[in-house]
Amino acid sequence: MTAGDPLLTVEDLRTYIRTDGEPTRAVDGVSFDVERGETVCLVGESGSGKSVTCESLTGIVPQPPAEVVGGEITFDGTSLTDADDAQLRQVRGNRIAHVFQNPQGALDPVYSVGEQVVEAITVHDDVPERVARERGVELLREVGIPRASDRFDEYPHEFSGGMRQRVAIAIALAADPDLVVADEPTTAVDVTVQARLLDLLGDLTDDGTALLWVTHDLRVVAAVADRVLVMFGGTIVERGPVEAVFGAPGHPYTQALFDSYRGLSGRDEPTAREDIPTDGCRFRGQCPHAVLECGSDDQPSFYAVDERDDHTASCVYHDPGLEFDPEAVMADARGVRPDEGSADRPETGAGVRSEGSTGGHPDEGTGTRPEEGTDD
Amino acid sequence: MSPPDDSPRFEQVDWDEVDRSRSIATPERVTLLAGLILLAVLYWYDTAVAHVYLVGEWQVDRLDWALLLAGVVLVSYGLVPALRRIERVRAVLGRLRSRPGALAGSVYLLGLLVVGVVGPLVYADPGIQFQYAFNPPMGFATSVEFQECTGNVTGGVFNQTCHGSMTYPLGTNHRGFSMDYLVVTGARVAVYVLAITAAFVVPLAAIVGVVAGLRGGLVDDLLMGYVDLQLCLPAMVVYLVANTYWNTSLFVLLVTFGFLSWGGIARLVRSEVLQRREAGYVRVARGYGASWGRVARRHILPNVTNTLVPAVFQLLALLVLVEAGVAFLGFHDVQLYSWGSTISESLSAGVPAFEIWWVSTLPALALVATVLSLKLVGDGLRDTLDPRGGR
Amino acid sequence: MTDSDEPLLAVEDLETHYPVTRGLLRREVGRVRAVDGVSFELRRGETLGLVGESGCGKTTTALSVLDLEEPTGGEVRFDGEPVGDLSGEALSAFRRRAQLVVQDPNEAFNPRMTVGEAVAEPLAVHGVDDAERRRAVAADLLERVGLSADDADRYPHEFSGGEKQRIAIARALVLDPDLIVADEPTSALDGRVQADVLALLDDVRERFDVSVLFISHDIDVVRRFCDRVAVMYLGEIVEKGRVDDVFASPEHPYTRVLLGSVPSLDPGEGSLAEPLTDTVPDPSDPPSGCRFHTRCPEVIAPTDADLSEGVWRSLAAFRFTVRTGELPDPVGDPAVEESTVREAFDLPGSGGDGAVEFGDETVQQAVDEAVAALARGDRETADERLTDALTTPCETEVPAAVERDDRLVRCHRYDSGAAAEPLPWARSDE
Repeated sequence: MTAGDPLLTVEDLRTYIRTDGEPTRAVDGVSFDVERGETVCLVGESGSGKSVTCESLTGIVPQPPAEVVGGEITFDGTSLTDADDAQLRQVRGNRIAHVFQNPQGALDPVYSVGEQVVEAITVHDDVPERVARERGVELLREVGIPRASDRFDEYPHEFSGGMRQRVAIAIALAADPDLVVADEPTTAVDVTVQARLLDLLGDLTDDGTALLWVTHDLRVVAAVADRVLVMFGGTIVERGPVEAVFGAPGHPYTQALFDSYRGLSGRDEPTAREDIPTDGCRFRGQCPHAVLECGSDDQPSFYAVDERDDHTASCVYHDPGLEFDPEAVMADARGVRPDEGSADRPETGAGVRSEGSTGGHPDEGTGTRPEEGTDD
Repeated sequence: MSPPDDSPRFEQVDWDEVDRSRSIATPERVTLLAGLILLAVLYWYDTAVAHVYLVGEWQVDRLDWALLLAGVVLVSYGLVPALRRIERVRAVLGRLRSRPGALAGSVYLLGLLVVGVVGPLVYADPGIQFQYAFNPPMGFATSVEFQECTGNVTGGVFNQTCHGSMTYPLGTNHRGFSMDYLVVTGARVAVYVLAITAAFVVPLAAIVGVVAGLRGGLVDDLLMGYVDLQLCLPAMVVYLVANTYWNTSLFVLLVTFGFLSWGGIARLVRSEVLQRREAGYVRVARGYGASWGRVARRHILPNVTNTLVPAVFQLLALLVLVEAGVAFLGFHDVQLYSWGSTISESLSAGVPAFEIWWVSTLPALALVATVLSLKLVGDGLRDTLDPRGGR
Repeated sequence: MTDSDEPLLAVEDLETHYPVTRGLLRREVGRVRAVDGVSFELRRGETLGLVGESGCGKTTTALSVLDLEEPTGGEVRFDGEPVGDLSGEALSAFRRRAQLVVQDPNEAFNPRMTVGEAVAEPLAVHGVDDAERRRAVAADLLERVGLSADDADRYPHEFSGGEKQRIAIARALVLDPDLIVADEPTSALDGRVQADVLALLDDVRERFDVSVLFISHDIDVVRRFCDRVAVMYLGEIVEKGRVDDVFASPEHPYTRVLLGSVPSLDPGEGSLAEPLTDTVPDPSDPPSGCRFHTRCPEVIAPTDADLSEGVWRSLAAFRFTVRTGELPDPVGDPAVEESTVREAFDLPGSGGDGAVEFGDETVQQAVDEAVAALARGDRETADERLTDALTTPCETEVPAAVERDDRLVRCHRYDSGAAAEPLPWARSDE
């Protein structure tokens, strides 16, 4: 294991959930890396498999009914998929820590906050109580809890939602993990509280802790991510540095996601979950550009978008070997151009009622691709 | 062309035309009223003219009036609404069919109901026939001292063994009553317990629980304070005390135990109501004008069944056992041959009980089967009533 | 037909207070002022967004408007009639013309009723006795919101969150209402499903001429959906106006903090806005004067003090943090170095060496004394000293609501006799 290796490597992970009928393929062939110290965002809608992916990493996904049926997870050179329960418990909390969405649910109401932090410390580090307590108070300070030494002995219900989430983060950091896996940690709190939590997590990762952040909110991704992985139907459909993906999303699903942040979409009927295929490109049932080739293979390979090696999309249109013109797809790439200002400035009237708004006026710098007008 | 009056488009409902008057004469109320009138007539007839016979020789006494009243209540508020929502009932029954335990239990309980009501028609009181005491069931033999054996007699003069026969296929007890008669009368007693509790105790508990939960405030405090008080009274002691004032009877038993045990269920219902009172769909229903009464009936009570139904069946099972236990202890109506009393008497019959094992075992089996069925049906019903499948 | 100038919904000085009681006799020991003087209007076919964070009173306002929570003051007029006075037929008509959509789609439906029954029930409540007709209307409506008529016989748990919200909208429509109060209808949804449901609601609004009172904490959603917006904080409306105006050039400091707290879609550096203190005041004990003053980055400096803006801001943050008692560690421990206190609060300079850093002697002295008090562990004295020296006009007077051109803002900086001018605003990532 050399210093250059990624901290976490996930290869072709598959987690299926047993049901009365066909098992649900919650995670269906997901591969990605997380380097030391970087922040990677896993973004997707509910049902995309992002949470199950994270839970599968340390085996906290409830098995049964779920089951990791395939793939390799390697953390710091050691395989997690081959590890037994005892080894996994060593890793959990100690090297890989979890933060969950619901601040209420994450904390046990019958124990004081301090007791829970101390437990997180002593589970992995056999230190005397006094030392653990000192460290616990320090942790609470670090996450910005005022009067930490006083509040150490208070109970979760005496804290506000935002404070509870900070405590949850403190617990996650208790054993000084290398990787923090945060599943929608700011979804349940107010926007001003979220802003503080985003700042906090940004600070905390400055010291080299890697962060795998799961969210459905593209704005949060924009605020924290170094790299982004877009998930749909249990697969990753696009990946790359956040500026690249946000600047010019290459996969039709990512584009649709960005569009949903703009006007009010025009899908008259919701898509049933059963309509998502279990082979080929999972999005082809809803994609305006779908062709026959989209259905072949397990999933389309990843091809460079806009000739960037680090920004790839799992879409046949980007395959240089096939005759499809990537421009057909990229015409809908209404991402954000960093140097043209924020894309969410209200487009006069267009954002609310009109149909098929192709995104504002070039002179307002709303981030549409300049080549838009020349498409056919 | 103006759109037809029954157009399915919501914007074409003519609200000026729609009549909002509530109808007072719901089918349930009409049935209840009819039933009560019928009962009143019967009662008057019974007291003023001549005794009323229900089925065969079944003379109507206090307990039976209670049973009839229970029947009227259960029919108007149980059967009639079920018939009105026949589709839903069919779906529930269908789900029940796929649960073998609950299905077996329901079949047994239905059988129990039939046997308990109709049985006495078949079995008139045979009268005490001491000479036929202690005959064993068919296929078995006993060496117990007997006077007359209806089956074969084998063995020597001092060691006679009586074999069972077809006359008394389940054997006889110390009075010479056939066991099948005793099991049937025991069934009748069980039916009394179940029907009266189901018709009176359960609705009372549910209504109090709902009122306390929805009204809150002083009403809630008062009702629950009373329930707490009541729960402090040990029903057994009250029953024993009542025993000294009134003649020992099943009626007194049911009144004491029944009316002292509804408190627990009331509390259960109340806590469920408190939880669901703030639910989104309740709020929305109030928003579109549903009264609290409607909300309680349509939205809250049906969602309480997950806890209420098993608790009710638990209570029914408990009361069956209580009756048996009380009878077993000797505080029972000697005229009424419940399973418990049969077992009890077999133990003081002057002969070692294990030698006349059939006298205690058969009623005991009946008790076990009844309690087991009640539990199975209770759990099964809870699961089938919830469209989510018992989550 | 009503006069088209008359707003469909007029709310005036609405108050909904909850008493905090103690003891058997339920003595009132305090009041939670969930809604404290809210006024707005909603015209036919218009959408008004009520935006704010948790605890600001927006949900209580929505429920009070529908008379599902009883207001303790003020008036709600629907189509000219005061809602609180309604009874009998008139109340029934109101319950038909105003409908509620709730936030959590998982809680919005009775699990024991099929969705067809759920959508049809309002019809039954309002007298449509023909069960067949109810079924037909419900099935038709389900089709029109994007589901199928066969779905009417299925139970709520068989549908996804987005589908359930569609059904909730169908149910809200079935009585052909004039007003829909939507309490965070898309907060439990994400991505494209959220956009779909919003589009459906918008379509409904347009096609059936329904006004929508849209409660949300999500500014972005309000921006996309609403015509006008009212921003709420601690039970009051602090700013109100057309969505485009308010979000493009917000005036009230709270609105600015709110907008600035939402990360931009642009991954570029942009920093997020920060209120002065993080502690949200207790709704049963709101700050005096302008309720936002304890967290306001634009709080007005004391008139008699001579301080630069930057210095004043640090001092204000210092003062209000001390007031809440949520002291950053290690301040608050019995014995701490004064320098530690200064560092913790990022106070400019130290008066120890005689240098007057603040430009105002009285203030300097007060701050020094406060720091000393804190170093001793005496928060009360520190609070007193700071309050004496640093009283801001924002706390002594309640700001009046200033209205011009359909724009309202409740901030001292906009008062005509203001002690200070409004500050300019720009998004931090521009």
